[in-house]
Amino acid sequence: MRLEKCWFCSSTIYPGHGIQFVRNDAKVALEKKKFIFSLCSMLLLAHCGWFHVLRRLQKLVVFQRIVIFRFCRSKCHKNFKMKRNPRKVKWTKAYRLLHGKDMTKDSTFELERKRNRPERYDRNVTEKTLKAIKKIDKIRVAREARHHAMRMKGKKATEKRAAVTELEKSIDLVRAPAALLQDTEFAPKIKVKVSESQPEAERMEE
Amino acid sequence: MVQYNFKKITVVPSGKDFIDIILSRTQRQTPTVVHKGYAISRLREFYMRKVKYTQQNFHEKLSAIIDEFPRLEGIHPFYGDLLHVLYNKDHYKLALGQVNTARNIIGKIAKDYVRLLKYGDSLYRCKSLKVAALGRMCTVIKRISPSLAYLEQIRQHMARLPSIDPNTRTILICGYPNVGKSSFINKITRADVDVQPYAFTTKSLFVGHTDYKYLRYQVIDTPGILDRPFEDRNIIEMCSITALAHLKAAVLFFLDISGSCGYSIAQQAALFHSIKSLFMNKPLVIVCNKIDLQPLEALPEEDMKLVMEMKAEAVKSILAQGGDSKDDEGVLLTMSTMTDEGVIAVKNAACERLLNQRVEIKMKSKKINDCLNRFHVAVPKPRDTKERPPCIPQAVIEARATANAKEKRKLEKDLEEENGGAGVYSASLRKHYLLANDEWKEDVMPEILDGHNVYDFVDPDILQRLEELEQEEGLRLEGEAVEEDFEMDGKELTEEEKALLSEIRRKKKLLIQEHRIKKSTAESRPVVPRKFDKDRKYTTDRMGRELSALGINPSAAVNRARSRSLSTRGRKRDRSLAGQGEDGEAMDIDTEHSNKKLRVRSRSISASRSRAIIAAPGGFTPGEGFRDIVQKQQALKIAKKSVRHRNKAACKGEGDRVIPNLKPKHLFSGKRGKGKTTRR
Repeated sequence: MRLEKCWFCSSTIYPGHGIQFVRNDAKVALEKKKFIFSLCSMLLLAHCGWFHVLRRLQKLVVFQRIVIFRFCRSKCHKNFKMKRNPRKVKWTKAYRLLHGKDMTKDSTFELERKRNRPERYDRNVTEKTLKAIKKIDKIRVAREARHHAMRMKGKKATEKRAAVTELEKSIDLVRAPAALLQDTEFAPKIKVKVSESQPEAERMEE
Repeated sequence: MVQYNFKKITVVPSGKDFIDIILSRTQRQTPTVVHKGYAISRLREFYMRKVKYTQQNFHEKLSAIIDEFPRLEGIHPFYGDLLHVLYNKDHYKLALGQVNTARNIIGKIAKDYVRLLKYGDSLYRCKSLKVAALGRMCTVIKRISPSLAYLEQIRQHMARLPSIDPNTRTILICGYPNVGKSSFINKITRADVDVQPYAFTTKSLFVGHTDYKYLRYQVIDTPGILDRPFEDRNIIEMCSITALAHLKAAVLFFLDISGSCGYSIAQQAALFHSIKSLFMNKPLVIVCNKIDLQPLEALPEEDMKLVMEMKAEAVKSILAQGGDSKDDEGVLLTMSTMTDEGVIAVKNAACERLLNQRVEIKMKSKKINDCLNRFHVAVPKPRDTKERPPCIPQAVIEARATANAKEKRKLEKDLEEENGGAGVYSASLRKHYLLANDEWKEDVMPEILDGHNVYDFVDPDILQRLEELEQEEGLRLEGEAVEEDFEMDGKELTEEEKALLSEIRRKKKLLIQEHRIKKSTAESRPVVPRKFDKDRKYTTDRMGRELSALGINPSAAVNRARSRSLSTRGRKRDRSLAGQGEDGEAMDIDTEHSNKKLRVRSRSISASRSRAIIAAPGGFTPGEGFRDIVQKQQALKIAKKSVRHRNKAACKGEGDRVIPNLKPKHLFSGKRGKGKTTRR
């Protein structure tokens, strides 16, 4: 039993949820496309004694995997059927990562990797792993929050500037120009802790 | 292909039905509406179509009949002869011929009439031509209706003929009536033939199937044959004769040696000799039935002699096939269908003889050579007389010995059986795990934690990596504590300014909302003149409030507005009238006077009007539900009051509503995490 990732929105799919889709031609996804080596050339290299070279190159060889499309809910499935690109759909993780809204490269992600070789069960290791998962989570969350804060950094300044300009421009919605001309004292309607407010008569010059 | 199965012939309708079918189809499938005003070519085409359509249908159906009924020359001679016997070949052919000629005649009629229709010059003429054509076609069919009826009868009978395959292994049973042929076939096959004490119970051929040496045999039961000259035989007997003549089968000639069928052995022997020509090249078995009533040994001399003669004849047939003359056990057999004695023996003998004969024929035929060339059974010749037994190594012998001697170890299967069987006990698969510590065998490890797969994290040196990670994190936190992210607080807003800003934003929002409402309801909102101001927007009080909120002294503006209002000055027309009433100097004199007059006048009018309205309706009637007139007036007043606000907005009634925003955003927006928003 594994938790999978939704192909479209990258949220986790718990067991018993969602839909999986396998194409009839079992379309393969290519990974690590650096070198496409044919079998005979590999054999040739091996035969010639270039084992170390071969080993290095093997890592670059194309590994073909069959992609099973998994969807967490019908929303993602329907979007997929409409042939939408998740990288262009705003609410998906793919978009967010691509456009730098969420943290992409971090060492916490490296600790979680799908291993294809099963490890022999060891109680101590399991205990440590379970505890470690929690700590790693905490760190990861903290880092994501930091990333978000960095993103939003300049926002306060821009907001303040915007507020100042708005005040200047739209002041005539709440104060008549005549009233504005009298210094900077405003009408006593605003409940503000000001120093002694001047009596009305003095202000109304008309 | 109507090989052995005549069930697929379509039904032949009677003459009348035939006509009905075709004519109604013409009626339905061709256009029916025509007027005499149409162009003549259209009329001609209309009627020609009908004639042609009818002819085509007739042609189709008659052709179907002709094609589906079998041609007597084209089928197996057994069936050909059988059909001839049953239905008379000539009669059959005549009927089909008549159908054929009818088809041709109809074709000719159609051709002639279509040719005539080409020159029809009026609707009536074309119509009569068509009527004539159709009428003639129908007459043709009427004339052949007896043939059609006959063909239908034949078809029904043919469908019920037994499906006999003339080429496969067949056993024929023949003999006098009532000798026990049908009982025999009932015994050896699943056929359920009528067995009755009267002669000619079986009136036609019946087929059953039986198995012998993994092969299927057809067993055909025939009606009884009497000893008569060939020409005098009736149809039923002719059926069996036909079968005997055309089918290559093993023949079982049944002999009733007890005489309970009503015929003596002499008569049966006579029959045998008269039809023995039909037994040429067929394995013949003479079966003496009903030995429970009369055993074979106890037969009188003459009968015994006759029986032996028949046997001799049968033996001759073996010789003809190349068998041994001594090999005569299978020729004369005894049995009793009542006690089941010897029934199987008879069947086996017949099947065996037939099989041998067929195999011999196959061996002699040319086709076998193709197969034979492919077989070769090689038998190695022994080169000397030395014994060479199979070689078993010593170790294997010892192992076998010890394996048998040793106790069987306990299997999981035995364990399961002990503990309650398959549904109750589930084997522990973890028993044989190889772990570093045996205590861990029964551990349950979680696979999922907090939305992660635990297996993805499992790593022997996970602790070390975690430490590194935490160090990294610690460093980074320190680094961040050092650098302050200071905002530019150069331009901070004061409290008052902040308040003003929020005021501005609120006002902007209101403006936008109002505008949206106005925009969305513009088409359905009635334009009401300003004097019907239901929300009291256009009052001097309000104006004063707004102006002082803006920071200006409103008193001057308010006074001015009040002095120029309708109630103080009166309407323009009244003003001008008042001015004219007093000649010339009206402007100088007493403007206030006139004002007052106008004011009083306008007010007094409105008051009197209001009084009139309330008091007017019919006074007070006792049954209405009011205590007295005062209460009624009060009620009317309240009613009026409740309606006033609505009327001022120019609404027709309660239902005249306007919903400015059909999809308010707060009800239709809002994010979900990973769930669905199918309901709001």
